[in-house]
Amino acid sequence: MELTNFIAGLINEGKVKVVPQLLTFTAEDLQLAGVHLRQYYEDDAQEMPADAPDFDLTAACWAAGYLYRAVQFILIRELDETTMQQQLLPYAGEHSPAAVYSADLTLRYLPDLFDLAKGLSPHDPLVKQMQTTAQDWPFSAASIPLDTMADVATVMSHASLRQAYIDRIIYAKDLRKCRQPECYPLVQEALGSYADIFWPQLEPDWVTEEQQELVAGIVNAAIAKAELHPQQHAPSSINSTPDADAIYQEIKQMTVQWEASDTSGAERALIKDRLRYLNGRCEWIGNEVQRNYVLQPIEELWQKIIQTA
Amino acid sequence: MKEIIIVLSANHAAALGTVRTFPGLQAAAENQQIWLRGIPTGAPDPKINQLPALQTYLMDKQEHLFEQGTLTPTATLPALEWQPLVSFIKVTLPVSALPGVMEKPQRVKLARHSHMVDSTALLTTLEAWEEYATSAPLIRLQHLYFAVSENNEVLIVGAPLVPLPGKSYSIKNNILLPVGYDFDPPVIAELVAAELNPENDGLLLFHQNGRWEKIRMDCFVAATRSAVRLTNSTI
Repeated sequence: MELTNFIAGLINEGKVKVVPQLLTFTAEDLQLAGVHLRQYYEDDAQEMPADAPDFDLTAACWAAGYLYRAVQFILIRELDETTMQQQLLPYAGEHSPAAVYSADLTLRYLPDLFDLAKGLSPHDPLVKQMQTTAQDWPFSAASIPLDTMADVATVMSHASLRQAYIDRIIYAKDLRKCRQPECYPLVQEALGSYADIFWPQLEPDWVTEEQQELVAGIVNAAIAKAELHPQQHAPSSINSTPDADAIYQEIKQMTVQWEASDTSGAERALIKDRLRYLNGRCEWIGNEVQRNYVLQPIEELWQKIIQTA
Repeated sequence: MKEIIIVLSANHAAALGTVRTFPGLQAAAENQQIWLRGIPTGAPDPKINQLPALQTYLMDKQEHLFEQGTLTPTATLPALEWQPLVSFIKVTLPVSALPGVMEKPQRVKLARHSHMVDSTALLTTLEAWEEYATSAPLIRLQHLYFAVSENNEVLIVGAPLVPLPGKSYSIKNNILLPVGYDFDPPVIAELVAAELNPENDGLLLFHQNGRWEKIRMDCFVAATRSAVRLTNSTI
């Protein structure tokens, strides 16, 4: 039951044991390992965004076996490169969304293993082997550095994998992968209006130091011209009574932008966050009639947003 | 002897959760009893010894069952449908619950107020929350906690808030006030907290009409996708 115990240890305790010989897994072991992997899939799918891909037993077992062998090659240093190539075989089946997710149940530990192997010997053939595997399975290897960007078409084709992949890029704060053309708009959409809180280092490439200085100059000039009450600092104007007309006008503009067909997902995320913010702000409008008048288009825009979802 | 066999009452199935992750354990159900096998002889883990066993046997290779301290078997292992323990008992995550019982009404009034503060809680519908949370980016959920009432309202606490329609609240002294409102007079906030939430073990949710309810801290669960899904499936 080597593979079964390996999977149980990995999933339940984060610790694994391997035998010091390259033994073939028995049929009974593979069958029970499949039971464990399917159970783990059912638990894990509850945490996946939207509807997780189906379970692919073949891919799940291949990945578990691959990981087991990779651990063996890290620990048993006398094994040669030829043996490694014979044992760490690539997946022969189709890389469908189901295969990608099912393999990920164990292959998600590949980055940890990669760091371990690289620490032992950066030029080890095993390190190169793992990089090749990472190239083939980009969903599981979001934090493994690669010379060339992996093909993420399969990941992007499935709503659940797509969102989970973006989650992993944000978690790893991986600017390079974030800037892939298919990823950057989705990262922006995920962060909404709060990129400065969730990922302060994320800046578009086009913001140069020169441009930052230019913007800072404009802002500082505006602050200098503003008529401030004595002892009032400009940023504290957040506590001034909200301008009902300004909010109303902004809501109307946001409604037009929401209804426009060319509004991107990232722009829609900004609209939703801004609407939530203004929804709260307008509760401080002192005049009840004015307040209710502004709340009406806010409620209408919420309804449009819900219908679009 | 080959291994230890333990028999438990089916009523104590939950106790198996403590040993669920032990490798090699298998379980089977029969006549309101649960049979557990795969425990090696020797010195079992203390958690095994703590199981509420009806009977503990030692089993030999011929599957004879020996009561402890005896030399002769009193039974043989019945033919059962054994399953890995990890499959036999499913993991259930804690779900949120918001007590529907209103505490004793107090004569506390709220009034419109002009001092703006940020919203840090949102009262919305379970339907809208589930629709959002089960597909939302993880980064928008990780800092949030939520509790659900019997009438399918959800109180979400944390900032930044999620982009959903609903009623916004601000928080101070573990008191949630509708945004735009404060106590009348505001100075009673600390008194209210001390009087109504002396142990500071919950959040006081105030409505615009001055009515309030206390939501214990343990009613809140972290906003994970699984917690939202399981909460909705149990209501």
